[in-house]
Formats: sequence, C-alpha cells, structure tokens
Amino acid sequence: MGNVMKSGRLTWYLQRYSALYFILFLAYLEYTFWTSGITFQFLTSDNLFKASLSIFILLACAHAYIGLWTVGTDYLTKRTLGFISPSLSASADTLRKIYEAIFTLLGASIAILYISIIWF
Amino acid sequence: MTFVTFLMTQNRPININLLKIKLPLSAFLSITHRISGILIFFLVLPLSILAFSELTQNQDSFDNFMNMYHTNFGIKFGCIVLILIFQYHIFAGIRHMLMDFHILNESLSSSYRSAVTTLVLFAINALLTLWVML
Repeated sequence: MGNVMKSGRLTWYLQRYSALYFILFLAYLEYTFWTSGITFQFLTSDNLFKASLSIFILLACAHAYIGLWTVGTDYLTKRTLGFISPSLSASADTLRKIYEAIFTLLGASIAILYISIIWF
Repeated sequence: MTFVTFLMTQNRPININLLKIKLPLSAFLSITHRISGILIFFLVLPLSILAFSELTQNQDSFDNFMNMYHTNFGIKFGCIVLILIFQYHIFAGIRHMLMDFHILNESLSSSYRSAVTTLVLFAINALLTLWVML
C-alpha cells in the first residue's frame, strides 16, 4: 500500500474514475428500482447486479482508502495538531499510523464481508 | 474575517491556523464532503452490511426487513439519514470532479455559484428522497 500511495497521479485518477463508476452503478440501481423493483430475486440471483455490486464494493474501499489517507496526511500532522496542543503535535506521526491501521483493517473487513455475503 | 481578507491583510508569510479562519462557502462544501466521506466509511458502509445480509438471507428475512422498515419509524428514519449522507457526498463529489476536469471554473465567484447550485440541487434531491422513502 505504501508504494501505491507514492504515485499521486495514479491515486488521483483511481479516486475520480471510481467515482464515475459509482454514478453509473447508482443510475443502474435507480433504473431497476423504478422498473422491475428491488426484489429478493434481484439481490440474490441477478448476476449483473452481484458482479457490479462486487466491483462497487472493491472500488469503494480503494476510493475510501485514498480519501482517508489524504485526510490523515492533511490533518493528523505535527503542524495541524500543533494548533490544538504541543503534546498532540509530538505524537502526530504515531496517531496517524494508528488511524491508518484502523481504516485499513475496517476497509478490508468491509470488502471481505460484502463479497462473501454476495457470493456465498 | 474571511480567508481571502485574512491573506490580504498580512504582508508576511505566515502559517494559516485552520481553526481560526471563517470558511468561504466552497470551503464549507469541501470540508463537509470530507466529513460525509468519513461518515460513509465508518457508519453507512458497516451498517449497510447488516441490512444487506438481512435482505439476502432468504425471502422471509427480506420480507421481515421490509416490514420492519414500514412499521418501525426509527429504522426508517435511520435509513433515510444514512442515504442522505451518502447523497450529499455524491452531490459535492460531482461538483469537485467537474472542477478537477476543468468543466467548472475554479475562480472565487464561479466556485461560489457552483457551491450554491450544488446545495440547492441537493435540497431538491433530499425532498424527493423523503417523498419516495417516507
């Protein structure tokens, strides 16, 4: 993950193109809602829905990883936390690492849980 | 003091204290876009797993969830709030993308206008969402 985040151009485009996919996916859900309706059959047996939801979840986790990493490196820094207190500022790097570990674990759990509910 | 007048009254390079400046509307949209994104990841997505697993277990649990949604106002209200947070992130996100790809101008006046437009469109969308989901 550390190496991926060093390519700012890649993550910048990944976050924006994933957002375009989200809009297309939501338009598809909206269309289904107003035409055939969101039924149990649709959620469990429609392979187009199951595949596109799986891609949605994986891209959402990548999109969130990039966004949360950006937020962390913007605010959980020695300088920004220094506006609140010097002792917080001193432990900024540790706090940011803990925050990054938490959202990485949560993101992986969300992806694994969703994919297993969709397909198993 | 706005961010811009703050910069104009200072003649020397200084560190901007993010906690002490009054945000322009476009900055308000930017920070609330971030906050809604954080809420989606830590609240909406985890709770949606519960709903999705209930909805896909079997036909009975699907009907049970739908029945609960229509009879328990707390559940209905919670679902609507979570969906509005998600929609807010999308509306503000579309504006950010239109700026990133240079379709919308990033000047102060035009970003103010696009911020107002985004908030108005989101308000209309929120009313439509309430109308459909209530």
